[in-house]
Formats: sequence, structure tokens, C-alpha cells
Amino acid sequence: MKRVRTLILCCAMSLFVVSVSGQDLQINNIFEKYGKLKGSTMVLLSGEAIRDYRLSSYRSITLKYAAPVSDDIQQCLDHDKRQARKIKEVIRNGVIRSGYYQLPDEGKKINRYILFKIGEDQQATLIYMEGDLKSEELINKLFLRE
Amino acid sequence: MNEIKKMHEKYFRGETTREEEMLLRRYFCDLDASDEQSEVRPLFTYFAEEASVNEFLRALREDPVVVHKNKSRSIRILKIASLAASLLLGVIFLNRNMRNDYSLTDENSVWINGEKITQIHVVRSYAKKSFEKVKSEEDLLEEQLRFVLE
Repeated sequence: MKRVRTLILCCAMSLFVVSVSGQDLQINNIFEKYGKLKGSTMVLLSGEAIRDYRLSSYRSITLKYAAPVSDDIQQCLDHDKRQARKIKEVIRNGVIRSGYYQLPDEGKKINRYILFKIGEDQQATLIYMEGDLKSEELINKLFLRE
Repeated sequence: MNEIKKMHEKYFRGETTREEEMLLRRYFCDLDASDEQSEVRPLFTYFAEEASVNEFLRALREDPVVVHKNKSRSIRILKIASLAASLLLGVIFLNRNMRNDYSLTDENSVWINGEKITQIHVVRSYAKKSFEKVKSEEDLLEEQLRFVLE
């Protein structure tokens, strides 16, 4: 009986771990929900097409930053940045105006980043990218003028 | 001795009581093989042997009950384990599918106002544009130099 209980417990725990790891990133919901709507521009790139940039996956969405989209984005960023390393973040009046985060690699040895910015035209751009690209290289690309 | 003889004659007539039959069995079991009545002995010892065989068979029948109990328990454990394993596999499978849906990386494309474009040069140019949009307007080096000089 004890063995059965242990077995059930193990299974329940693994189910929990699997389900939790499945809820990986909240920003995925933004791409899912708004990516194919009118007024949005969503870019999906992977594989050979971006290998030169030392990336394996690139997703971006640009859309008008207004409610309810704005609330959704802020909530998702708030959730995802909890597990991430902050590269740079600008918060104005409690709102993330721009944020650059590096996510934990989860043992896959892949660098994962979330980039976000609200432009002056009130267009928000959210990017998720993963690959071999080092954070230093990304910082150079993002913050240093060529 | 005569009494025993009378009793087993009575036995063949089918007139003995249960107690008398048991007495006869016990008597013939202990009987020496050289005794004159030993020719009827196998009949009574057979019953005694049958009893022990029955007892043995009964024990055998009981033993598998214990084995059966253990077996049914391990079958139950196996059932639970296989159920849990299939659940786990199901969740992993669903999870992968969900991830694939979320990752949306099946095809290189750009969705503009709900319209899909797959021409790679167009997709690339939109990717570059989107990356330009998140770039910081301020130069980090300038910003830090300013901070140091201040």
C-alpha cells in the first residue's frame, strides 16, 4: 500500500512538473491572441533563415499599445520577468516602457531573451528570441550605435 | 480381534456407524503387515491416505489464495503505474503540441493585419524593422559616460 502511495505521489509530482514547465512563457499568449489580428504585425522566423544571426527562433509582434492589449502585455511581462535576468528596464508610472530580459536556459544551453518597447508612436513591440547569441552581443546590437 | 472381524464384516454389509468406521481405519493403519487380516488393510488405509491426500490438496488450494492475493496486488500496482505513465505521456504529448502551437515556428512568415506573407526577404525585412523598434534610442556608452562625467 505504501508503495502504491509513493508511486501515485511520484506520478502526481511529475505531472505537476510537466504541466508547470508547459506554462513556460506568458508572452506566448500575446502572439497567439493578437498576432493574426488586424492592426498587428507578427514575424515568425526559425531555422536556417536566422542562423547567421546566431538565433534559432525569432518572434516579434508590433501592435497599438492601448487597452486591453496594454494590460495583457504588462501582465505577461510582469509574470515572465520574475524568472528572468534584467538587462535593462525602464518603468514610468508603474508601466514598463521598455524591458530587456534574459530568461533562464532551463538546461538547454540556449540563450532566450524577451525584448519590449513602447515607441513614441504608441506602438508596442514585443520580441522573443532564442539561440546562441550571447547577452553581450545583444547588448551591443541594442544599445550601441554602429 | 474377533470384534474387529465382526466389525469389518458389518462394514461390508454397510451397517457400521461412523465411529466404528473410524475405529476400523485407525486399527488397520496400525496393523502389522503379517497379520491375517492384513488383506483387507489397504481398503481402510486407502481412506486414511485419501484423507491425507485431501488435506494436502486443500493446503495446495489455500496456498494459491495467498499467491493470488499478492498477484492481484501487483496487478493493481501495475495498473496504476501504467495509468499514471499513460497520463504522463498524454500530458507530455499535449504539452509538446501546445508548445508547437505557441512557438508558431512551423513556417517563416509575417502576419500583417491578419494576412500571411511567406516570402523570406519580406519576412526578414519585417524582422529587422521590429528589432530596430526595440532598440534603445540612447547610446548606452554615451549614457554611461555622461553618468560618470556628472
